[in-house]
Amino acid sequence: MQQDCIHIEDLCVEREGTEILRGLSMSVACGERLIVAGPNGAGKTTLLKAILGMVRARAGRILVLGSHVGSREWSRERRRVGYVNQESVPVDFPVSGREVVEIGTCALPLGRSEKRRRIEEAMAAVGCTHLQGRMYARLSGGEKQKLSLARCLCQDPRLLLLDEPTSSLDPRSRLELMSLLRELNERRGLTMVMVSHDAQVLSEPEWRIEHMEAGAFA
Amino acid sequence: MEDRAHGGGRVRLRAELDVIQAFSYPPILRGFIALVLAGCFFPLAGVFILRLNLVTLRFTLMHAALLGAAVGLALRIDPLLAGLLFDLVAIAAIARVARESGLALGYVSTFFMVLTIGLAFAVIYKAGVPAKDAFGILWGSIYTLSRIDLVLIALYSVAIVLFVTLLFPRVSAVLFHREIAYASGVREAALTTVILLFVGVSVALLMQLIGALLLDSILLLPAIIASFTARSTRGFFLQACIIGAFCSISGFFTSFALDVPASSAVTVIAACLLGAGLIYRRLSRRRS
Repeated sequence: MQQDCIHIEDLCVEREGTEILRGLSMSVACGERLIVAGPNGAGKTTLLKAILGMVRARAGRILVLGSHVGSREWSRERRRVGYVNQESVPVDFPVSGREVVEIGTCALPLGRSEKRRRIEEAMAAVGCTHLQGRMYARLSGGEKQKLSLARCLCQDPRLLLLDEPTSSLDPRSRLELMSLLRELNERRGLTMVMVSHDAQVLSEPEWRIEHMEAGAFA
Repeated sequence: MEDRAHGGGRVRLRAELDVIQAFSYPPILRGFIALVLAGCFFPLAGVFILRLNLVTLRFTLMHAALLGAAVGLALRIDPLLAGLLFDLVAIAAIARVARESGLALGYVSTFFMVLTIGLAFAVIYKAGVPAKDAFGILWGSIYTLSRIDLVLIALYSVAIVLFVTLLFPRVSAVLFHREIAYASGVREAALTTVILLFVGVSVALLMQLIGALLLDSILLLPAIIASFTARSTRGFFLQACIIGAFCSISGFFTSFALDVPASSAVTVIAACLLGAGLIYRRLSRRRS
């Protein structure tokens, strides 16, 4: 039997008096690919943020990679979780493609040369080496997502959380991204949880699909 | 013609001698060193203000420093140190209230801005602080700095340079996106508080140096100009420092040449550079 990468029991999250997640339970096995689908406001993004420990749970427990989210050991372990967020980051200040990827290594206890190696390998794996000197603000949605993925790969993650990564992509870039994710899952055994309501993404084979509605799985 | 050329040369030589002579006066030398340090390194805090949208916070800090100066004058302690202390307390309170209440930093800053200026007026009135002295902090003076003021400016310069260079990738992560910084394992809440502290101290020190009304010329304008030309975050920090250094050094010597206050000269030069930067940005956008 495969070990669970994520295990959630009776999770409740409130924001400003409104219950966003209501007693949600779920498990994701290591190496699995899961899509969480559902309408806007169903609580999909909040679920990802709760898994990362960005939002506090009112009740319930979350175990990720064997650590309780929010515990002291989780603050170390969360480096093994890559996060690609929903909107392409609004950046009106100068930042280069390489600097975006470099963020993935910034909290890792590694030497300079090892960090450099990781950045180069991650950019090569995602096929975005040519973007390293380019200004982030001037890149297309697909190019920005590639940099986000490379940033996550630098962390050598075991779990990848993706919040609507295809929302700003054209159909071709969407296909490219999905095939890249499949390849990363197969080659590196990365567990993936993706939030999406993109019909094209939901038709992808080999992804488990769970539907959320009003803060719980339907 | 030759006479005029000789005359011009003599005037220039005289001006050079005046500057060299002026440096033999400790207040002027201290002011020059402080202005150069501030020009070179305080724009680093300007990058923080620009990126984290701390413009309202900056006003709050000016008001908190004014309150500190008023209290300092009332209690006969150094107004700069008192202003610095009040800025640090204001920063800690604002960061705490914003985190606990979930309110935007701008709202919390506005509340503290009104509170501190109200208290400042009350202190000035009740303690009989001469308004001229209290409001002196609004225009500052580079030539009235004490040795302690200069040491504080130098220590701050070293601290902010070390902070940005040693923690560059983490600082850059927080400036890029706080959620992504957190997800990458950065202690972004702690780092953001440190950044706010740096902004607070820079505002308090610059108020004494060139005054509240003109501090943006060293703090913000170099960072804004650098944002037009830089292509990376490293370049952004570096260019902001170079532009700040240029404005402060050229402003100092221009103030001697034209016999105007140094703060005004620095501000006018920075404003001219900003204008040039805007034209450059417009042209480069048209080209692309």
